Amino acid sequence: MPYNIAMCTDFFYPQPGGVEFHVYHLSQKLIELGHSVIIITHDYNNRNGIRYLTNGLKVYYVPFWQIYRSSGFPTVFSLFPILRNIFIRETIEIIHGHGSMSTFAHEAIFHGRTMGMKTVFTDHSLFGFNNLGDILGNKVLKFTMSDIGHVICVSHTCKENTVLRGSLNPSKCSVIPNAVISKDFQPATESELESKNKDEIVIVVISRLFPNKGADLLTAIIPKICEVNDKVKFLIAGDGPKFLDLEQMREKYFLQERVKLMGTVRHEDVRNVMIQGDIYLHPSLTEAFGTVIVEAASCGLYVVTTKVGAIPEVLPSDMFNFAEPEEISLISAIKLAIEKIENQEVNTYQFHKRINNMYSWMNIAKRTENVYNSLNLDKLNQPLIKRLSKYYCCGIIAGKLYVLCVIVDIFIYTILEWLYPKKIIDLVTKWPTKVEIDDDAIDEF
Amino acid sequence: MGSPKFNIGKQLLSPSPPSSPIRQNIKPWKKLLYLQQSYPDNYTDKSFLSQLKRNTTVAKYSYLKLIDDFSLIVFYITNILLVILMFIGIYVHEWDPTLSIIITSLISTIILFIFQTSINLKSFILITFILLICSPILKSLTKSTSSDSIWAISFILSISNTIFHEYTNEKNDYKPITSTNISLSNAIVLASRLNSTLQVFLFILYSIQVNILLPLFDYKLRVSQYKKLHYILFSVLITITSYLIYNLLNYMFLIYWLISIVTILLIIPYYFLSLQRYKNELQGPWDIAKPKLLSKEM
Repeated sequence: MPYNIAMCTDFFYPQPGGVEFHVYHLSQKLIELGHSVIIITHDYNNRNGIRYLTNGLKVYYVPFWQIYRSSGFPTVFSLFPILRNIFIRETIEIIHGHGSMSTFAHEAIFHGRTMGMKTVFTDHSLFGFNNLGDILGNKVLKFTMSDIGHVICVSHTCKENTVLRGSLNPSKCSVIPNAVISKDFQPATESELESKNKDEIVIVVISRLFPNKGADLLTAIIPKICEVNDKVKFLIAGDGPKFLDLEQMREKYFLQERVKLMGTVRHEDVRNVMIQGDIYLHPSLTEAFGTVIVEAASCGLYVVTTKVGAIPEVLPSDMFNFAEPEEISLISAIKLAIEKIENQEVNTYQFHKRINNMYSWMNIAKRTENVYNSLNLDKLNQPLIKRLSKYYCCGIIAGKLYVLCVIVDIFIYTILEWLYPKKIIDLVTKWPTKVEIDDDAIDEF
Repeated sequence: MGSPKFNIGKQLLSPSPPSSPIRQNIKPWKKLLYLQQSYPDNYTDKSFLSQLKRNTTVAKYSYLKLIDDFSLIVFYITNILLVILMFIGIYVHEWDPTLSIIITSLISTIILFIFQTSINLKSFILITFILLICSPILKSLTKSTSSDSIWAISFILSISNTIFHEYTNEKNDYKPITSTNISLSNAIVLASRLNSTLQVFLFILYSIQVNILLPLFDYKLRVSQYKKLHYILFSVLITITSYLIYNLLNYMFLIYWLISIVTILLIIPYYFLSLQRYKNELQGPWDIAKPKLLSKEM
């Protein structure tokens, strides 16, 4: 049965990133499965209003304030009028929020519950419990999770994290990973391989150079690796606050010939950077899924990575080398990887095909569809007093605040129903879709 | 489409997912994402949260150690009070501060010589003369401001001084930049109420000695082998402060002062200790790893 789904998130194109990518591809595959999907996000510069993407994927860019890294300004109620209007116009049945730092996701789920709709939330990142920002974020998450239909996490580690942060019932939380479009990450072709210098081993790093991405580790190990092996070269793509440190390191050890800093690379060019290398190095300190290492393996690179977050779940053990997030451990892991590549012990050319069988967006979309099927409005829409008691249990002070928010939201809903009655809101004509699931898609699954 | 992978949805719909494999031939669940496992997506294994660690970095506190740490707060409040009491003495009781401040200056100079602290004699003299030159300016600094505002500012400065002071018993860790600035501001604000240039100069000199040099000296005592001297100094200062409060103000203030000493020294540490049982620190693979680097020079 086709659903009308609204994906609500602060993070969407034109901004690049993991959540954006996930939302876009999931929506495309859900449309392919016959559902109608819209995306609601905040405006990006002069991009506001309604835009259509491939296959009639409609995007609402709602004008809204942003505070930090394009997260919306956390107002609890201010989005209700416009969201209600969009939900009614589009006859939305399922609200799917993405990203725990996204105001749109939280507000949409909260107001959606006030309007008695089915809600799903996908968490894409990991958070700790020990600093002020995380604690506040976790409180907001707990509020949204109190009355949610179902939660999706991108990895098992992410599930453990979200269950703890949101005090969820683990059976209400599914693990559905990210995927990669493996045809965009083909290994190097014969002609491309010929142009490569066979005598050198190129280590590729593609990362935003932030401290939590392990930029300090990277800066520390490069001179040491270059010292022990003359054949090694580094190719580093990405920009960030630690870029300067890398440049200084390069000057200090006279490695200009051997360490190439490329700056920011667009996502569609990532493959062309990756195929220039033999080893992909991922020194990150935290990772909820790590799409980039799957992409690197798909391009036929042997991966060396730190053992943090959900990374151990992502790839089979013969495709990569683990290291602890320590300088010595990482250096020895790279040395081992270089040895393996030199002696041709690993057949990296097979990686692409194997990754293709492991991760596909169609599989992800079907599993998400299963989650949608499992939502039952009779179970979700309980009497108000039961809903309130769920919120009340969330904390001594927070619980009372939550209950207050819920009650105020119901009042606002009543006022809105009176000011803009449902019957004066125009319903949209849905984009005509041919429901034809081609055989490839099924085989892929 | 008929492969066992497709029972995901059905099992999801059932009210409780199976906690153990029903069929014998089902492979055990693995915590991996790349396998298509014949378990529902919301399956929760027994190993769920097995990597969760609780309260691993929690320090055990002893009551005596806590009292020792909290005594630093009382010590610093004593220092601030000594300055304020001196001000009350000069301003209300019309003391002549000359003799007493000459004595304290002599004591601090001698101590500075003995302990060879970072401030040497040259800078000491330099600061003194700059103060002397500036005193006439400082005297008339707040002529147009009413006294009430000055008391209010001084009160706020004293409170923030107590909050932002660097309380530490660790070696090489004493950098009281904020509190030094606040102490000096407080001294200047109060001194601008005084009547003669000499009084202004002496009062600021005194407050630098008591609020900046004395805590520094006490810190040196604490981290050196003469820790007992710190306790002696502490008790002497409390006695002087209590005596001055009783003489300059009245016995009610003395009672307030003693009650607050007992509260900070005994009751707050006890409360802090009793709060420890609510500690619930969660750590797991989701935490940002701390990279171990060989050298910190990078």
